[in-house]
Amino acid sequence: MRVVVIGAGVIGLSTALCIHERYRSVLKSLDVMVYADRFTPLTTTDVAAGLWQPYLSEPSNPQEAILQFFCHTSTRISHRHWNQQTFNYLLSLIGSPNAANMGLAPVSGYNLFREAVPDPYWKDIVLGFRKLTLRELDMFPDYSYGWFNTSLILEGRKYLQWLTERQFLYPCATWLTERGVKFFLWKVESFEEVVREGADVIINCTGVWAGALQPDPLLQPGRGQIIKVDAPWLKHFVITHDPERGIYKSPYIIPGLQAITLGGIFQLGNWSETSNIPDHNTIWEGCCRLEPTLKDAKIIGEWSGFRPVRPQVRLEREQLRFGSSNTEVIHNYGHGGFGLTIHWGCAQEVAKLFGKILEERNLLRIPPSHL
Amino acid sequence: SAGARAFCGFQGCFFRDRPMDTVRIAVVGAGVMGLSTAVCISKMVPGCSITVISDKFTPETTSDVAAGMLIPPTYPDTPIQKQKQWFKETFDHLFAIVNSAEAEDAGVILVSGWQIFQSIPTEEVPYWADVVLGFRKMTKDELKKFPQHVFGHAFTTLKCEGPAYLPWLQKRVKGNGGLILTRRIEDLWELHPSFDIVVNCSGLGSRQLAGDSKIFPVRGQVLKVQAPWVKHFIRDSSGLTYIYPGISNVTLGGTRQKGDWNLSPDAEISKEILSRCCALEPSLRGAYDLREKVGLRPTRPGVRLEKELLAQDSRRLPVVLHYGHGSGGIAMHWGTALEATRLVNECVQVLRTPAPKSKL
Repeated sequence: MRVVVIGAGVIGLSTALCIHERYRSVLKSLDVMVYADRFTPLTTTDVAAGLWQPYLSEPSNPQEAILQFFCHTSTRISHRHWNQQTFNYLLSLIGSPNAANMGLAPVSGYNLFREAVPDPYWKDIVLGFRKLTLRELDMFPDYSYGWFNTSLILEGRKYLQWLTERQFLYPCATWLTERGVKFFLWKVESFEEVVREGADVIINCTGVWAGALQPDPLLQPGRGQIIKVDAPWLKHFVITHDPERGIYKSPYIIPGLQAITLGGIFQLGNWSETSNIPDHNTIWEGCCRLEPTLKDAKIIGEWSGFRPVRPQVRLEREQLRFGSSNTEVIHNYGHGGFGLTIHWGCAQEVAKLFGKILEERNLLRIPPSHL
Repeated sequence: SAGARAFCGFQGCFFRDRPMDTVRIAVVGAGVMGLSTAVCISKMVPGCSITVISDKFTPETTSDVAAGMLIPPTYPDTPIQKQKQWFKETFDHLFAIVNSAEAEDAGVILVSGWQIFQSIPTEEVPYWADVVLGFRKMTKDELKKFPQHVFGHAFTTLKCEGPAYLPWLQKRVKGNGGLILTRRIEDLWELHPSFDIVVNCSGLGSRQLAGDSKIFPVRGQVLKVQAPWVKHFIRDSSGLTYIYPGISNVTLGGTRQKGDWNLSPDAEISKEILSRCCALEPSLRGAYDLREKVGLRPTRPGVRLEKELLAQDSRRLPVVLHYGHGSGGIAMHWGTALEATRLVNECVQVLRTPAPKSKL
């Protein structure tokens, strides 16, 4: 049973890991391969700041309201559930000596608004959620309302390295024929070519480029640009919200494990992968206004990436017919700006759908009792 | 009490017929007390010259070893209201700096975290709860991270780091016309008659300089390590184990060894500190570039903050005493410096008051 995962960002690698871990002991012939034309540090995940935080529940501008119109209630509930699963999973890893090696650490900080807003649905998922006091708001003269909570950083680059190493060097003394997941640098042009190479099941984790394999008018790039700086005195994230401009269009400062990410750019439909000066200035001025000590920060680099924006994540099975055979495709793309936030819940869901495929094909042995 | 006696002494014994001359003030000690007092005096006491005299300067003072967390101790001999005032004045002063563009230069940062208890304290809300930011009790979910602990405080406070803050203060002293001299003072009388008022901020040095047997060291050993992924402070309520992330390193502590004057780090103690801290924060096993430091907390039942008039034969030397902050030096420094400055001002007023020609 050959499973080909297309895409090696956080979605592709975590899904590959989930399937491999869950089924390799019950399906001896399971062969998981990852095909991608970009690996870390060149994926969209590598550009993300990595803060666990879902979107706020309300659509913040007319464009988002229209996108949310297509988002069914049941899907919103799924997103919530997958976000929570991811947070709980990551939280369970805090306290492991390896947390920092995975790119994982707790971080606290501020969400700032210009007027009172309802609490977000995730207030009971994160830790210690509360509203800001007046003295705290004094620190941010442009804002009059806000939240404080403790969340998690999951740094894209470190996490992808961890997922890669873990799958290659999977330590397992019990099975002599143990093989890990294999990685291939390959720009996939069509599902058909993957089927011709022998794939039984395809997991489509192609992110913002999914439209190249199968047109999807609901999928658009949400271009972001970020500046990474050295400012180790900053220990908190600060995320501002401007309802008139929309999500991610207002300055944000997010500490990573070493460097700090500065951002505030979200351009729907912009496919330009190079960083530009006007966006640099927008980010720099906005963040320095928020945090004047940034004037002393050393700039490490600047990156751009495309959030794979969609009214809802596409996570579903599809049967494609090539020639005489049916190939199962499980789509898992369109995670917008919350890929790291939701990834584990989605990976578990894909593994569940994969399990159903195995059942339908009578491939599942009775699982050993320890599972 | 002692202050009143000194005051009467001034009026009776002191004659000077040039009352509007510059008053020459010597500040002994260049840790956080000496330098902050010098800055306060230069801002609040008109017509004086200031000289800071010390044998040790940053980065070799006790203040350089301290993590500088604004979590105050409790002094048994000082009224709680006074301690709260000192802490609040210090917090407000540093809060203004942290919100300015100078925060990094001055070594002041904002940091959030948890103080955790192995048993429920009798006083669940400390006196300083409304001075720090966002103080609240930890939730059950937050406490899950610390299985040995049953209760905790979550709040945001400030960290003020000696190696940056002291040079920042020194710049201010010099900018306001003050002088800084390196010299070891063995006896305060060495400063007479070159100086009109002495401010004694010599910490443990006061055992000798003020003949104060009430002050003693409480030795603290710490590790300063690289672990940049640690963004929160964690402090066990006993005060013995703590993790304090700073600008360019994380301070792991500590010890409280009463009466121990040994400034050399002990390798066994370092191992033990690391082990205690890793129990609270397992990711610290990946910490690197570990450096051992030792500081002697200048400990006293209460902070000594008063005036004294030294007398020897016909010589008189007004002294303001400002030392004995124990583990609360950084946390209380600005509040006590302001009070020391008020005392200095009182001394200056007396010097400037034409003395009645009276019998001795």
